[in-house]
Amino acid sequence: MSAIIEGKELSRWYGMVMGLNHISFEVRPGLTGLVGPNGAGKSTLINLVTGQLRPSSGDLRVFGEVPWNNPRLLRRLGFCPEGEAVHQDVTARDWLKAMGRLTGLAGDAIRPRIAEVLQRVRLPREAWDRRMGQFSKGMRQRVKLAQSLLHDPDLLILDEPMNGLDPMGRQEVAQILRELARSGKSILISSHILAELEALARDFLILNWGKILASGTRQEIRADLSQWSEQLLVRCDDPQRLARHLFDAGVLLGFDLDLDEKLLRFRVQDPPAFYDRWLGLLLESGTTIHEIRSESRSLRQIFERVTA
Amino acid sequence: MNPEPATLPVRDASEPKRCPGFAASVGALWTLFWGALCTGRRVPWLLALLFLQPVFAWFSIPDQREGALLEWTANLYLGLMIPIYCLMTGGGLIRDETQAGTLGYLLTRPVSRARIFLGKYLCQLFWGEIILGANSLFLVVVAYVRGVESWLSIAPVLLLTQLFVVPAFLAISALLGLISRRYVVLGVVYGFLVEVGIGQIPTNINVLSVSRHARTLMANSTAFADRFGWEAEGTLWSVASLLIITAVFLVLGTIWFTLREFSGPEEEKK
Repeated sequence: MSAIIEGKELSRWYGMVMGLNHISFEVRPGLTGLVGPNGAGKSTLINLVTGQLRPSSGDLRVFGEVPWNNPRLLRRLGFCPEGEAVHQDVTARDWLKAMGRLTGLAGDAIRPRIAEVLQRVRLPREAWDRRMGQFSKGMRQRVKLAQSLLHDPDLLILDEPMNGLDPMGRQEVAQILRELARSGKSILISSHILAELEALARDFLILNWGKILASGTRQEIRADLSQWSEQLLVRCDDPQRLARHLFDAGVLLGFDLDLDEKLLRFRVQDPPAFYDRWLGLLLESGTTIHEIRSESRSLRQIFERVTA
Repeated sequence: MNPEPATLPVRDASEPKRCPGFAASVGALWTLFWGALCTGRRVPWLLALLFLQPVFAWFSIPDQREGALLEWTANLYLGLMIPIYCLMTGGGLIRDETQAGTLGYLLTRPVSRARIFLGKYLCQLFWGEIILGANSLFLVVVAYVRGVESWLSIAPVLLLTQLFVVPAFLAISALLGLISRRYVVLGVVYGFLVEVGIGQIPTNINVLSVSRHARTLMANSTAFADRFGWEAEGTLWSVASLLIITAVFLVLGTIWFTLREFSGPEEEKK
């Protein structure tokens, strides 16, 4: 699948401060999560992709074009910036009207389109003609998302779009993004709420200190990590016996027993080799297994591992 | 209760996406500009802008004292109030958006930065001409009510001068606002250096001064010419100069706005 965003040896410096440091990456069509702590370079990368910043060095292409000062490319991008800033003195409907006209929507197409997107982001109808300065944080997030959807962009770039939304709102926004992805749109979304990003995105770019530490699907990232230790949780009738058996087999890095809950939590080095032997080890141990769960496959654990 | 979510109709992939035309861009920017003007907290400022100057003029110009009116118009209104108005509004043209954190919405639209800058300039210019035009008319009304005989000859000259001076001052201020967030200080320095300093030098270099050209235009009223010894010779040249000054500063501002980055910690501090 060809990349929609491609960076080669990309760097961005703010004077002496590093934003991005010599990164190369590809973003494939679909839903891609941009993961990293504050100051990792997520917003810098987004500002470069949306043509608001120029690379200090290296090459960046979005749909094969250089994004800096490129209105032709911006026709295909929708951008929802971080923060709560909106034009506070205008009503939501007037704001979207202005944004729509600035995006090339014709006069007669704007009104119905505004109604569609406002309904889509579930902004209460009574708020449509209210000045946005009176909006709550969540309402601003919704109207910000609405402006990015107005012109039906091919690539939607969202910088922390879940901030300020209540759990219900987050669910709704996640649902909208899933629908957009299903309809063939590509979405690049940055968020520090890893659990939500994990549920949404297929691909990930993990950034820290201006570097891309890992990229790809969770499986690809995990496969790239050498010395990756996996943590498993097993609930069985005799966790002590199972622990001893695994210890004797020499596969354990460490373990923790909870006899009341009948739980064995253990870590293994070299997971592929372990999984080759795993079923045999279980059968040999003679224990009855009730539950097996990997605790090392969540995005949070991958992230912690990668950024450690 | 929230409305039910609608399913967004998906655009036909073969349908080309358009960039907006210049008129549509200006119209959109005017919607934002007008929305920001028509807020309750701005109404007092608007009323003050419209009526304070004529009210002060009313108390400052005694009956039938033409000299007081002319001094007021030339020194205070044209020499101070119009430049300050232009500096504050023109300087904030882009600066207000960066400070509010809303410039990103405009810069990520499929519109060239030149169009955004010029569109915002035109909105501000249109409004400035209306507000200052109303002010000039109120000033003429004060002159008429106070029985100043030359009020009829002053009115067209004042309006014409304002028509050409405001775009020039606004263009200069817009550039200053782009250069630094301390554009008021830059404007004061510029005013002393170019308008007061260079503008007073009786050589060709004073062609750079907007107020020098304003004086030439105002001299077409005999009342001003007699009172201040100004000469109307070269009126057309002054009009052309004001237009050229406007164009040059607009081009410089457009280039600056096009090439400058407005995101990132360092850029936001500039």
